[in-house]
This record gives sequence, structure tokens and C-alpha cells, in this order.
Amino acid sequence: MDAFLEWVETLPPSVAIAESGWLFPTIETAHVIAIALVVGSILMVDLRLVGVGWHNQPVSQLTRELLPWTWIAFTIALASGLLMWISSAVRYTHNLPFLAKLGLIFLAGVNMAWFHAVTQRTQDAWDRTLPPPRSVKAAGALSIGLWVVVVVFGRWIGFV
Amino acid sequence: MLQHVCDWLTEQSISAFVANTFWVIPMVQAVHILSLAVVFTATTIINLNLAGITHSAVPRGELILRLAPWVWRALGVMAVTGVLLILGEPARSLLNPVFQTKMALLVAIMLLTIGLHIAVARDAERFSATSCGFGVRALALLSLSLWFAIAVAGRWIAYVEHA
Repeated sequence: MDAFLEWVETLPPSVAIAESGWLFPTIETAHVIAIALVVGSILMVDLRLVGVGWHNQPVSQLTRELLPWTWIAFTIALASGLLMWISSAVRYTHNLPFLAKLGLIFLAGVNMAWFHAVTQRTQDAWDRTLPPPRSVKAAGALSIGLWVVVVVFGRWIGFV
Repeated sequence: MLQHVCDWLTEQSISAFVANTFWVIPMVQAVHILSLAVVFTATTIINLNLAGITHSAVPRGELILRLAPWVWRALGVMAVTGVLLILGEPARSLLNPVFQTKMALLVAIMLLTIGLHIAVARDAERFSATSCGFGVRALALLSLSLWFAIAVAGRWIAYVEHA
């Protein structure tokens, strides 16, 4: 495993990012801004799912307008995250907050996939309903909790 | 002058608490970033709509009035967490040219945002028209750029040596 990670660190882009004074902070800045848009847009949808914000907006309309932007920002966050990781693959892969962050993003993805595949099948019945059904509220609350902790661990990576 | 302020702040017990308790700075920074997520997403939606780049089923004026309270609440949290971060290491921020630039940009965006929110609160209908006038669209793009520059400056405080 470590042999592979060390090989990743010898790749030309890894070396360039690790040795440059400005590349890493520039990529990190793009990462922070992308994460802000990912988390901000997801929170808006989640608050509606919990029944707190956007009271007279159908869930379907919010997700249609916001989620394409979430995915664009997520792609930028993933690409910039990958670039930071290759610059120091050994250190990050042994960093506990980093591993916890990846695990939590995976759980947030499972929660989202379950919501889209199962809960949303009955969306016509609760698209405008307030308060939303318990399963919808649970998906929103779980997503809020997971993304908040993702940001906490993300910030913690730099302190270990 | 600023150096004296930094020295005085550093002597305060809250400064030592923030600086010496291992979890305070990462936790406060995490809350600062979560609030940034709210401010940045809400203002980006508002400004892209004002500029005519994106469109929502919610009328523009109503959209702004709904998002504005969230912008101000999150900005309040950012101010409190920002002050705590300054208290932890006063010289790292107050004497840092990037931090000073960030604060100047922040004053400019505050004035723009207050102006916009007052204008919309007075006459939301006007902003809900199919397309806003050239002036409004230009100010929306300026706001978008200012928020972007503020977020960039915020991250670069850590990478620029203070005077």
C-alpha cells in the first residue's frame, strides 16, 4: 500500500504541487469555495426536507434548480481534493480526519442514493406537504448532520 | 498602533484560551467555513439571478427576500468566529496585508449588500421583472467577484507572512 502511495507522490503533477509555493494554496482555495457551494446548496434542499425553509416550494422544484450546481461544485471539490492528495499521498492516507471525512462523504452518498431511489418514488404524494413525512425529514436531518461533520473533519486534516 | 493592539489582545486570557486549547481553533474555523457555505451559496444564487445568468421559478424579488435573513444570520456567526480567530493569534491576522485587504473588501460588500436588501425590501416587484437593468446586473457581477475575492483572501491569510 505504502509503495503505491509513494509511487503516486513521484508522479510529475504530485511533485509540481508539492514543490510549488503557490499551487497548493491555490488548489486548496478552489477546494474550499467548491465545498462551500456543495454544502450550502445541499443544506438548502435538506432544510426543505426537514420542513424548515422554502415552505411553499415543492421539493422537486428545489432539487431541479439546485442539484445540478451541487454536482458541478462537487466535481471541482473532488478534482482539487485529488490533486492535494497526490501531492502528499502517504501523509493524507495515514491521517485519521482525512479517512473519517472520506467515510462520512460515502455515508452521505448512501443516504442520498437511498433517498433518490426509495423515498422519492412516492414524491408526488409529499412534494408540497408540510410537515414532510418522517422518512423525508430523516433523510434531510441525516444529510445535514453528515455534511457538518465532513466540514469539521476536513478542517481538522491540517491540524494533525 | 496595530502592534500595540496585538500585544494587548495577546495578554488577554481569552486569547490564551483560544491559542492553547487544541480543539478551539479547528472547531471555530470549521464553524466559520460552514457559515461561509451559507453566505457564499445564498449570495451566489442572488447575484447570478440578478445578473440574469440563472433563473428560478421563485420570483427574483421574493427569492432575495427569502435568502437575505440567512445571509445576515450566517454573517453574524462569521463575525463572532472571525473575532475568536483574531483573538487566538492577533498578529497573524491584524498585521497581515491579506487580512487587511479582506476587511476592506468586506466593508465594500457589506455596503453593497445592505443597499441591495433595502432596495428589494422597498420594491420587490421591480426586481422580479424579466430582466434587471444594466446597473443592477453590473453590481451583481461586482458582488459576485467581491465575495469570491473575500473567500480567496480568507484562505491566503495562512500563507502570507505578516509584517
